[in-house]
Amino acid sequence: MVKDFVQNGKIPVLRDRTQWRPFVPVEDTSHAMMMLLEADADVINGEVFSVGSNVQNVQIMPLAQLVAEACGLPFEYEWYGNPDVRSYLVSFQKIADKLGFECLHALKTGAKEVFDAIKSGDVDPDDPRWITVKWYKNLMEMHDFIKGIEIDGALL
Amino acid sequence: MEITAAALSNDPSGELHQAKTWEINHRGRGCNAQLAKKMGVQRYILPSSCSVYGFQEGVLNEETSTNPLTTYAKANLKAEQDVLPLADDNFTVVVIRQATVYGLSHRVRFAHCDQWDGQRLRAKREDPGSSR
Repeated sequence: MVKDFVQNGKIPVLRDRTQWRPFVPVEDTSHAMMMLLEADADVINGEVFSVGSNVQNVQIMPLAQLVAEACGLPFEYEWYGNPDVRSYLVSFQKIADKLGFECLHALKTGAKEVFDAIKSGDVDPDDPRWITVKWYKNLMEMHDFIKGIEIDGALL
Repeated sequence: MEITAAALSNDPSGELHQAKTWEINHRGRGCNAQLAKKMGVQRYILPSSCSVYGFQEGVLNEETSTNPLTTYAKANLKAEQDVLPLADDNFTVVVIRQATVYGLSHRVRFAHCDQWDGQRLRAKREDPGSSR
């Protein structure tokens, strides 16, 4: 959303906009793993924990509005896609109760950090590595290309 | 201690590379956990995904029955099922089902609008991986 907002001035919103999704900040999911490395085995052994934050279950349209606020720009959006039937809400109570885990980072600050990084040039929004599916495709094409032109395993 | 963080990541790439997703995300990680146990590692963390819940009504939690819809989600669930039974007094196993991860990192992730449409359509088709 941030990338498109910076580049096109509009946030793409997947129809029909009411679908719920759970999110987790990268810093906090890393923190959860560190807590699990140190937690008492009795508390965690053989257990499954959902990692996220109850308040970061959000619907797509409010999320888009929040991203615009974080970027400090007037909210503009455009629709894309067919109505998305994928909607779900997850409780993250178990990890909060058993390990005292909570997310310390919020959606808005996360969006702002990405926005600032793009604006300052620290992150190139068009770097092909940032869109996973495109990057894998890119790597395989490069691999084929290199295999086709190398001689004795070398390019030069 | 081990965290198997290496895998093909996300629903659209899982649909594009189904065989590799099963090979790496399911069997590769299951194998890693077995090797870790054999080598005397004391604690093993499997990073899985909330995508194993699929799309269901109500508020979902760890007790809810799973409903993985994509190859990526199915491979995550199978990996969970392979590693959890390895838990014993000497080998602590824990699974985390992560929500959609966002934020600034050395390997930041941007969504690609086209990929969701394609993936939604593909997910409707029968997934050859589901018979495994």
